[in-house]
Amino acid sequence: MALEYFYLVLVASVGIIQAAVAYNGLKGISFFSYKVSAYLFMLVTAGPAMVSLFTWNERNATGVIEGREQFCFFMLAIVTAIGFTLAFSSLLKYWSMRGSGVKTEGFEALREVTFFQAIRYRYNTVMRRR
Amino acid sequence: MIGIDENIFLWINGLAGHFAPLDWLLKGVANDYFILVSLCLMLLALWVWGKNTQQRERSQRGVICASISLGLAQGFVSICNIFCFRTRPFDVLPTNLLFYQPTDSSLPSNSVAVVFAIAFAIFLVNRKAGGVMLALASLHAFSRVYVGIHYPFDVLAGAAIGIAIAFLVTLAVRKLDKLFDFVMQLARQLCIA
Repeated sequence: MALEYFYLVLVASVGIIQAAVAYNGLKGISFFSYKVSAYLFMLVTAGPAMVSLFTWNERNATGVIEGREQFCFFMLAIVTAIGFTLAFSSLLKYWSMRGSGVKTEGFEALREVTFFQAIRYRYNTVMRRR
Repeated sequence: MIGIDENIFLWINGLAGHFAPLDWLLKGVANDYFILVSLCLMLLALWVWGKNTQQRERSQRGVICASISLGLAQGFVSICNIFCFRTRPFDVLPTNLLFYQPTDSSLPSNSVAVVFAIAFAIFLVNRKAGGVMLALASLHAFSRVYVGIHYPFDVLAGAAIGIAIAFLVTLAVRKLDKLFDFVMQLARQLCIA
């Protein structure tokens, strides 16, 4: 039951992240080139996951996950979703988003380059300063 | 006071069982996961929200306050439950029970305290998103009474606890501005904020 909860939160999180980054123009961590594709992706991932959470007690009549366990699985799902998003988008856009440098920092950098590229540029900048 | 509480409970819970689609809707809203996960996913979206760094930092401040408030609200309710136990309404009153029977204390409502803590922390930095979240939290609170597992006073106490904690946490984070800036700077270096 806790595993089901984990999968539902994971799938919903990946969908929500994609829609949010597409809306805010953070192309470096988006799986898609078009915003509409990201919104559709959210509908097919987060939609069914949320419906499953909504109908939870119809499938598990007395189904309760203890608070602490729920918190742990929720955090695990969120961290996995973020890790998956950062890694997958970086691999997916490795060739299409090869910027020569990053002028901004934080999420703003992810408008121009992928997460791995941004981290590499940041690391190179720090090493050059030393 | 208890009499008024019971009368309001009987009136709200008396609405249950007459209109199946409404029962189905409020059963879904009342469950322990749907609204809570929805609000947490909204926090995830708010973390990346904003057209520029300033806007985003405002949202992220709210998300941090909401996350801390969530933990503190949960902890506070657990402590309350050590000192005070109130029997669930379905154990003492004729109830249209649409839900499973929880065994922990009815007062204060744990889930309502948590959802209000999240919603109010966001409301303090983003009226639009916070307003939507407060509406969802209120619907959750109402549904817990409707399905027969809480008295109105339980959910009001939960909401008050959540709001008070969110308010105090937001004040504390404002006081610790330098620490917040340091954490955000670090997160920006790692491209996660």
